[in-house]
Amino acid sequence: MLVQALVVLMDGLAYGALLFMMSVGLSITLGLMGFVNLAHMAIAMLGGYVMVTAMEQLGLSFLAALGTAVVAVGVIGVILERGLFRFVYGAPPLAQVLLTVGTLFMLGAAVTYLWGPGLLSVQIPDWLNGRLSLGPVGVSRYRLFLLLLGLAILGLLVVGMERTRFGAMVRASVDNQEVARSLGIPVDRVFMGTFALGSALSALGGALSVQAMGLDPGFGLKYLVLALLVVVLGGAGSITGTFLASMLIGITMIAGAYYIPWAGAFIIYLVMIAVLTFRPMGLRAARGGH
Amino acid sequence: MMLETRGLCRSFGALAVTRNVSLSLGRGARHALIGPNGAGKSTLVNLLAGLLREDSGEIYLEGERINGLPVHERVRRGLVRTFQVNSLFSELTPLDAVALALCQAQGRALSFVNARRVHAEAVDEAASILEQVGLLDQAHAVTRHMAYGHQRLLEIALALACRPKVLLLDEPAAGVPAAESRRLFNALDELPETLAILLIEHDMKLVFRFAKRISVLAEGALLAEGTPEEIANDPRVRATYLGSGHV
Amino acid sequence: MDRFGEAYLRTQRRWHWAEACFWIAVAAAWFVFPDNLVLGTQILIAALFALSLDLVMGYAGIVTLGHAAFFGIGAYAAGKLGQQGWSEPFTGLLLGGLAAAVVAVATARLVCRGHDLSRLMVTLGLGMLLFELANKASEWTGGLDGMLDIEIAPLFGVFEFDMAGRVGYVYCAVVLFAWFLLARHLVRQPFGLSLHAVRLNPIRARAIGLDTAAALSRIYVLSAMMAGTAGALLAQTNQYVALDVLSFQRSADVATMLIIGGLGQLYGGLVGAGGFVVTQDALSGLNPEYWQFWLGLVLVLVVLFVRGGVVELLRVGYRRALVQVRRGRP
Repeated sequence: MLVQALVVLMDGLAYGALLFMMSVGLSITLGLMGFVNLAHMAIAMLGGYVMVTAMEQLGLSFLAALGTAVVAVGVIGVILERGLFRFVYGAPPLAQVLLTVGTLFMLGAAVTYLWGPGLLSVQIPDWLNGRLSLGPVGVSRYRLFLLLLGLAILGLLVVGMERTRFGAMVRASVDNQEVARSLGIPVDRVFMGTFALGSALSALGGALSVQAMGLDPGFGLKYLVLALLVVVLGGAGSITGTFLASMLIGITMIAGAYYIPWAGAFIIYLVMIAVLTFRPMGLRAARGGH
Repeated sequence: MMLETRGLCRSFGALAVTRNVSLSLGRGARHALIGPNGAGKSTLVNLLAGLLREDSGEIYLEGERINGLPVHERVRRGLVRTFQVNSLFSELTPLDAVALALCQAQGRALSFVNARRVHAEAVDEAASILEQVGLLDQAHAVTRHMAYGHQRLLEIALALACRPKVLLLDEPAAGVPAAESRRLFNALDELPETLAILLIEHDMKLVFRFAKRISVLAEGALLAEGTPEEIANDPRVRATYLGSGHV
Repeated sequence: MDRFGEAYLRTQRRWHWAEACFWIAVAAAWFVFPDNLVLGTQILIAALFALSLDLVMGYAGIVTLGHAAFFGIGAYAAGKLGQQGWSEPFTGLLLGGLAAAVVAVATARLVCRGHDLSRLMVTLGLGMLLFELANKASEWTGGLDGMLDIEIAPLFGVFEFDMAGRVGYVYCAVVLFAWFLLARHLVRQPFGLSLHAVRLNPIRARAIGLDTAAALSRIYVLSAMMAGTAGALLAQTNQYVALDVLSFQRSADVATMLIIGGLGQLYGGLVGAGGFVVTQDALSGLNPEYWQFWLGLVLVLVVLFVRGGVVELLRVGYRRALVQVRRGRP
């Protein structure tokens, strides 16, 4: 029983790590400029598709394909931000929602056209395959890899925010955009850089989740609600908050699917509704950039 | 006693913004609240109006304890405020906005069925309120296109439409150019005599012209209270305002 | 001054000639396009759904991507009645609308408090929750196959629902017009102003004594009932209910219709629905990915370039044309 619980926990944490990678960009952009990007998970989805292509068509190794996905989608993210999203930064929420939903549709359609509607998967390398024995518990190597990677990224982001100049500029801009601007901080470039980073990270998460969750054109929408939930629970703009929320949701999803399978997808929606009932502002209020 | 507070306190984290404030306004009061920037005047208004929850202390409206009542409930009981920075309905016309406030004061703003007469009468009364503050010629203007000074007058018109018993005026003269302030001062003079008014202001000319009693707030606490002459001659008040050149 | 208020209201509530033209056209279509009445019925149903969304989004400012939940509830409720032997159409319609209203009352508290993001999430989540529920409860709803064997009796016992959609069209047109009249009446009441006020400045709205939560709840429930009625119409005229009535796609589609036509103008949803359904039908031979892509693109372009939608464009265009004509006169 306990062993089972530990495995479930491990799975949940790995799932949470993936969610974290995919959602942290959304959280930061929401906290930074109050921008609701409903196309964010579609960008993550692109990471998955680039990953698949890189491995199958281009024959790249797992890690090289990952790198390609991250870089390529990071660039796409910047193009989307500069070419499209930035025009609705000050606009009412409805405009942002509809613009990004339209983008979501376009990306979904493009992906279906290029790769077909079917479910895709990748071959993970041998060193990530199989199980590792940690005492009585057999832990999937891939899951462990995901968790460690998630922790590493958490660490890097937190240190980056605290110690680097860019991080300081991001923190200043999240806190008060106008004052940051008047101090000479190039807020627009900060947005761009943050968006690129967020897209790259979500692509990483998307690429890694091909193995864990499967990939099809519905990915962008399917996991959108989860990502939004993470952001609302963890607090927009907070990296550690996003991490904790992701872990919580990851464990809930996996534990729910394992212990109460008939409930299926409901659990998470019910949790969300419960949280929002008692805390309509989320655990922390989302902050606009203005 | 129309409005009374006792021992009102509010902190934001470690910062005590309102410290043990006690005030009272009787019928027809013309009471001004002054103080340097950061003294906590706006916070106090927000506490009284219900936008902020107090940490401790009591607020009584006509003898009824109103702590914890939401904003709209306080308004229905006659406690109305204006905003320091214009907070209006950008796309509505002054006529529609004031008529809406009047319908709400009669409790008919949300009903699905209204006798046409009720609505028409509200529009008529709205027109007369607008005339009272000198905005009748702007009745059909779109609010966000109006001049700032006129918007300020609309703030007051909206507040009047709520049929207030106690009115909290939050820096009504703020941002109004000197040329337009005469209309504003006239509007303030014409306010009903029975109305209890708390005026928060920086403009000392307006304060001394308008107020029969003045309270001075500094660093969240009441420094002094008295008639305009007493306040003008109070050395502590002078010390607080040293450098502002008003008193 | 006494007549001022009366005169003002009269100008506000007066029917514009263009409105009369619109409804005459709706009626005329029955005669002019006898072969396309099934499509016409779909347009009318979508129009009612879009109108319901206009009330919550265009007037009250509640951003929702889950309004299909109410559409679907109405559809399944009316469908279930028809399936289980209750084939009287008018009561079925009413019960469909009420079912949606009941769910709205239960969820109003969630939607009418909190701010935009949590509202968006709640509506999105509720929509998806219902979709999953309907999917799982396939003995009840027919699951992916849909609900079949729905039987609807003839209207008034006389007018049978025919394959060409002649009766269905009139049925839907009358229901749409009735709801439209109600909506038009409401938005010209002080209630309509209250909704605008809540949308424009909720803090100020409360500061003039408006109970913003109550205002939003009321319109939310009414709108749900309207959307549920539209869903019930679909179930009754098609005599079939598919799972997609609850899908995110349907919520996004109706939002698209509304934004193209223009928010907050009542006719925006109607015009947008017409354009959307006709275009979708014309392009139905196309690969679904193409439709999806162009739909997304149109959505993006409309948000970026067309503030106020088609109805606003027409209005502005008409005003400009009038000015030109007046200048032309000596």
